[in-house]
Amino acid sequence: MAKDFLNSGILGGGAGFADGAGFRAIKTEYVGSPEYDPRFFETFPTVWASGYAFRKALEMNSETAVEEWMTLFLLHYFGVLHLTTFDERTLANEYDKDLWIAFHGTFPRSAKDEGGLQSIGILQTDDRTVVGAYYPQVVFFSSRGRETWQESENLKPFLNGNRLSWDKAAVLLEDENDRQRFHLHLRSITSVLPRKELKDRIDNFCNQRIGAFYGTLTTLPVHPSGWETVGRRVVDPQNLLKQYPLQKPNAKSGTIYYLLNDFDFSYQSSKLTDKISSDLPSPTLYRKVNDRAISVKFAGKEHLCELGESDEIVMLKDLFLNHPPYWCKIPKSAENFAAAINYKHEVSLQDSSIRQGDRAICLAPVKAEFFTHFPEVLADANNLKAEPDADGNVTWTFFVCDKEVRWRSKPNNQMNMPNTALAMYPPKVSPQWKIYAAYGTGNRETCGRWHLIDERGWRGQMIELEEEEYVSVLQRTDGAKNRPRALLFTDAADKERGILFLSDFFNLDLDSEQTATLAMDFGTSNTCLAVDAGKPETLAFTLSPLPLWGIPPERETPGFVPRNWASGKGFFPTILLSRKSDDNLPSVEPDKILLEHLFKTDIPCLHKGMSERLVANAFDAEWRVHENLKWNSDQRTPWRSLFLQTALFYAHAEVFFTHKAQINKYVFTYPLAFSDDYGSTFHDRAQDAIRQIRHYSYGEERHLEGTFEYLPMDESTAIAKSLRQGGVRGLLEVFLDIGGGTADVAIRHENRFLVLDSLKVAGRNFFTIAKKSLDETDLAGSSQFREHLKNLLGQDPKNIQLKLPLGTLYSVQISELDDRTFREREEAITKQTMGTRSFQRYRSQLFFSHLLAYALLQACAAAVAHKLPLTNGIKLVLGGNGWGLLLFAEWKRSSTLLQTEANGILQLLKTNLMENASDEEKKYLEKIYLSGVALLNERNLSEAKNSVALGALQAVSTDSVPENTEPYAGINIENLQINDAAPQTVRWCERWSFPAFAGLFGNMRQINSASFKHADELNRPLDANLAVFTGLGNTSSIGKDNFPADQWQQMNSELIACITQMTVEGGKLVVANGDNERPSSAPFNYFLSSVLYPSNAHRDFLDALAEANGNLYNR
Amino acid sequence: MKISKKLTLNWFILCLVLQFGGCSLMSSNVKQPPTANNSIPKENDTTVDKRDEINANIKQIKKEIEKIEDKQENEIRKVINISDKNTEIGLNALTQANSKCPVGKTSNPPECKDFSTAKKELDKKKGDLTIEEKRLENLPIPTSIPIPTPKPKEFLPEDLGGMLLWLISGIIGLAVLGGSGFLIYRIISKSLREKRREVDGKIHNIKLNNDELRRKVNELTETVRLQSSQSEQVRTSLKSLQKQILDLGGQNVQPQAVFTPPVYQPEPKFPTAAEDYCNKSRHNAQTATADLFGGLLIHDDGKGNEFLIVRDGDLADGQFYAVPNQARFSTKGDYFSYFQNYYDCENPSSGTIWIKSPAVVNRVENGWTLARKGELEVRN
Repeated sequence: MAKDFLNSGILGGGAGFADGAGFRAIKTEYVGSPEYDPRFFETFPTVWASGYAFRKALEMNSETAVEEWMTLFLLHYFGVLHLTTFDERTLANEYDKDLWIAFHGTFPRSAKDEGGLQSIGILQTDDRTVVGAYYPQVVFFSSRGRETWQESENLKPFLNGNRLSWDKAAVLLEDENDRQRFHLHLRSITSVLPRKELKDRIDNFCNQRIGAFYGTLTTLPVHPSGWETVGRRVVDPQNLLKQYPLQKPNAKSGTIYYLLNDFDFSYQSSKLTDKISSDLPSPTLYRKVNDRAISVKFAGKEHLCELGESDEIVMLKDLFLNHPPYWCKIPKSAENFAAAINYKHEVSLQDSSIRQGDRAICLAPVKAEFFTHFPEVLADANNLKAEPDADGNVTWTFFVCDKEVRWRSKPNNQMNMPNTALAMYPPKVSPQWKIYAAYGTGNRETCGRWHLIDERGWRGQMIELEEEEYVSVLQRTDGAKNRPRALLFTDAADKERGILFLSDFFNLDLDSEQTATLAMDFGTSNTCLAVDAGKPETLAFTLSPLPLWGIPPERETPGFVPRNWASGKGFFPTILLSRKSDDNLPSVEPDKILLEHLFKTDIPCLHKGMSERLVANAFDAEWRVHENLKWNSDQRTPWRSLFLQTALFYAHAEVFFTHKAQINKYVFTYPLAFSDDYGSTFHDRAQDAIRQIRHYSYGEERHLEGTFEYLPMDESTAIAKSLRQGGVRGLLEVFLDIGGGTADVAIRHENRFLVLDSLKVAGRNFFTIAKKSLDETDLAGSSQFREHLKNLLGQDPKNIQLKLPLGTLYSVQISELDDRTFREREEAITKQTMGTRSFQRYRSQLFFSHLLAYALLQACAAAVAHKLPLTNGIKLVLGGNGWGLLLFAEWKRSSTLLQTEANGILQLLKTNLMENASDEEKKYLEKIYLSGVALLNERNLSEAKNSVALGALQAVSTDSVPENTEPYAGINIENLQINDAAPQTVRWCERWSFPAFAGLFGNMRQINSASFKHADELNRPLDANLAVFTGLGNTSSIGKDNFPADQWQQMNSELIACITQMTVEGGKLVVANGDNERPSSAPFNYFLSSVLYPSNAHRDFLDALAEANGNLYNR
Repeated sequence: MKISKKLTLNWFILCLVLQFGGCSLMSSNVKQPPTANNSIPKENDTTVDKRDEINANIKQIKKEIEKIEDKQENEIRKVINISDKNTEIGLNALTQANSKCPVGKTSNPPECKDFSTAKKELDKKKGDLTIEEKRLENLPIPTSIPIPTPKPKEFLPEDLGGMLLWLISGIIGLAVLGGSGFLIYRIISKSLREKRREVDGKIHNIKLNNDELRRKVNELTETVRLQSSQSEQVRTSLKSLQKQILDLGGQNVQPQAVFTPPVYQPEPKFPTAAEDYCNKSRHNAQTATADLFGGLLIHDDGKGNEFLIVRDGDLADGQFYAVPNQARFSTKGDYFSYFQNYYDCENPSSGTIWIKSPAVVNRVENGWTLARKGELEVRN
């Protein structure tokens, strides 16, 4: 047993212990402790002899001995070797009883060692391979017999041949903390060594292999069994992964491990390089093996950690720029140059080019991808640090997974960066708002591009507009929060050049209760928006883009959201610009419109001061101009949809951030003159636009139904609803709104709508006449009209190369004028007059007279049909911008004047109607009188236009959609035969509607044939009421028809055709005229809309009337 | 500076010691010592005379050399002063001088003579100096240096009475002389110190001036050297050009007709950055906006001020420059929206506006009408 212990234990195999040898007790009380003497080397047991020899080798400074010695300490410290002690009792009990005596008796006790040998200490591995033993003079010495060393899996990694290798064992010191701790331990061992030479060996070795030491040594127990060691544990690779601090869950329910391979730790904080915990390694020891495995060198072993299927490895280094980031100088005097940029970017950079008065702005050296992994860095940029050093480097500090990560680089000066500018719209942010657009300027090649980065680290979509203009848009399809947090700069090659963190913006948090209704009066000439977020009001735009970087443009130009909004009249011309740089835009169909297209268009008249430049064709080089968006029958062009989307985008932002509400209800007005098809398409497009903008703004799914309410509202009702008064018994309210494309009529009694009608007689027709006046200089008063127009618009139309229709020009110019200026010019014009004869004045007066006459005729019919004793008379309410054209009729824009005119017309109508009226009809007709006229734009130009949108809001909140409001026939149609039904006479005061016809002619689905009785000679009016309208043009005897007979022939023919060719569409009686338009077949509506004021001006009967009344040509 | 009491006392004690020790510093009763007999043999008189003569020659030659050098320096200074006034004129002067005094030309005009004559004289004098110095070296060197013979002390009086008298008179004299000596010392030392300080200051100033002058002279000498070199290069180029012309068969072409010396032109105002021009001219200008339809620029301090109407001395009465009243174009749209009617611009884009030629407008009743379209350039 003893032999085995000595051979296998201390001495190792092959030591050659003699079989016959043994030990017996001897009296040692008089024998002093032996001190080895080389002369008596062999008299000592081999164990002590080995220790002695080792000590001698150390004293002789044998390199191999010193290295083995140090390695023994290292392996012991890290638990590769354990010191197993055998005390007297153990040896006596388990081994030869003489063994302890032999050891004890021969133990080379030093003078200081009073206690003598207490136990035998053997250094062995976990697999019980003996490597050395304790010997007080040197603490540890290595054994000589080493055959079994190579068989030990635990020891093999640290062997070089049959020697212990410091270099191999140094793997245990990869952890800097471990290294430092062992260094302290090793240096502290000197305190237990008795000999100075040995102390020196340790110190020298440490100096050479580990480095200088400046700390305080610890006091170690004399016997190594009391020494603190790191120990050697069973390490679970999965636990290593689990405890790795730089990890985050990924979208696949796995984990992303951010490894620090190739990181420069020389300037990293100890917070990054520290051990994860006392029994886990530093994160710096985790290394990527391949995409599916990480190795961790820890406690002398390399642990391979297999990743799960959904796990990923990301090298943290790859999230930083591998090239220098940019910096630039900005003048200190430009205070707002970088006002929206986090102040941490202003660094006291050491660069010789920086002069007094310059500020250095340094971009953070991270890639945009960094923030997709660590968006929390964006949320709290206050933790950032940027520290310059004397060498011109900047060290940035970020907090990643609660670890402090530093990145040092020397930035490059980008001299053109200060020449760029960037502004963001909306200028405020909200978690509920989902679109942010930053408009940038600066040459791409020389200045690069800025990109918005949102709070989730997503890089905005780049929309190139021109070589020097672009938009970076944050809009995410997943509806996630996407408030802008940073700017990424890329160079001409789209290479990332650093990040600017943005300051905190004004943040608005809305709850779902805060809702609003938006009304849009999409007009032919002008568009008006109104909002009800608690109080109905016209929507005024106030939010301007927020400058993020650079010097804002000095002048307002189209291209992005206005910086200076046009004056707040509440409406703006319905004109769209589209960039010529995109050749494909005109061919984009409305349902294919993308986000980028939205930023390639603009509404110029929303920009302050742009209207005049628009008229002067100043934008021709870069922009196409689109007008007539409401009536354009080409449904394939994107312009109307783009106009609606742009206006809605601004409206949504304004309502959200200014009125603090989300829109959940939309009211779109439309003229009753829309055909069913056209109206249906119009509303479909409007709803598409709403969906699109809701998707952009609120992040709603595009195809989701039921997220908002859409209400079409006819303009006639809307204008009527704009006036809350009503409900007075015996008072018939007649609303007449003259817009750009239609004149809308609504007749209301006691809050009940009796008639809702729309005439295609409006501003467009007026300007057709005006154009003729300007173009045909031989027309009476042409030159004076030109002068009038010049006085009103502020310039001579002949100086304008008119690319826009005159009506558009007019509305654009007028939109820029304030009320006072307009009134001054108006008064000057009406004073001047256009001479005794004037085609323009004549036609203008006729225009207004006809519209008034039509409304009054319908009112008379309603009164008779409903047997209304109008004790309070008729009140005319006149709305729409069209009334602003009164000056060309040389009529003052006043209710009083119009009341006089209207009263005269009413009397003419009554007189005429009374002639053929029944007694009962007469009873009601007699009582009809004009009790008042309210001209809405009498005091305020914009009131007349804005009323429609505001009225639409009122209508939504009050009552249901009125029914049975079709217009009255206006003329008597005798013996009208529809299909095979018996002929019936339709009186002037009967409704011209499909339901009414069903009552007269029986139920039918369609009209296959229609005819009526009329005089064979058509050179007189078919009906006397028609003659009133032409009689209004008789300048010498108003009301007396002097229309040329041959002209009546033609007009009657057209009217007959209207009746005989009528058909049913969508429950309405319309005239199928072969094109897309479907005019109402109500005879009087048709007479005005299509006969007297046709949309195609190939013939104009009223010119003949003008001629007959001496107002056509100068004679 | 104050003289400390301790120093005064030391001086007094020293005076006493010297007095008792028979030093002649404060005693007039000093007898001539006997002549020492240990002097070395005297030099030959002829050698001494020659040495004196040579030294005198050397001194004279050195003086002459200094004069010549001063003269040369003055000449350089003249050239430098000209250059100081106007480098270009200086260059022209130098060019002219070089053309008059070409390298290798034997007969120089009179203004070149001073330089060459002075140089010859200088060389000659330096040669004389070398000869004299050699002569001096060739003279026999003396074997020892004459040492002044120490004067023997006359120490003891011949009788005691006389000795007492000497002692008493000595003490009295010492007291009187000591006191007066101390006072004299203070006056002299104070005066000396002040003088020294004054002289030190002057010397310092002179040194500084000298250094500065030397530096300037060096710089300007270097400038002259460079200009000479450039002039030489130009002359070489000219020769080469002439040769090429001749080679090309232009024998009849006179070199003067080909080479036109640069003529001084005042710095042109344009092209210039619009911002700079506006900043310089704002005091003499008013803002205006374009009436797009009337074809006028109209004065408008309010909304539109995209133009600055500048009165300029180069223009006729009633004419003005109309320049962009802004530093940069943010986009090309800025140009098209505001300036295209008044300026051409080859490649409008974002960048700094430079006025290549300003638009000229005529004053009319309600504003200004365009007389001549200008040209802009955008620089990044």
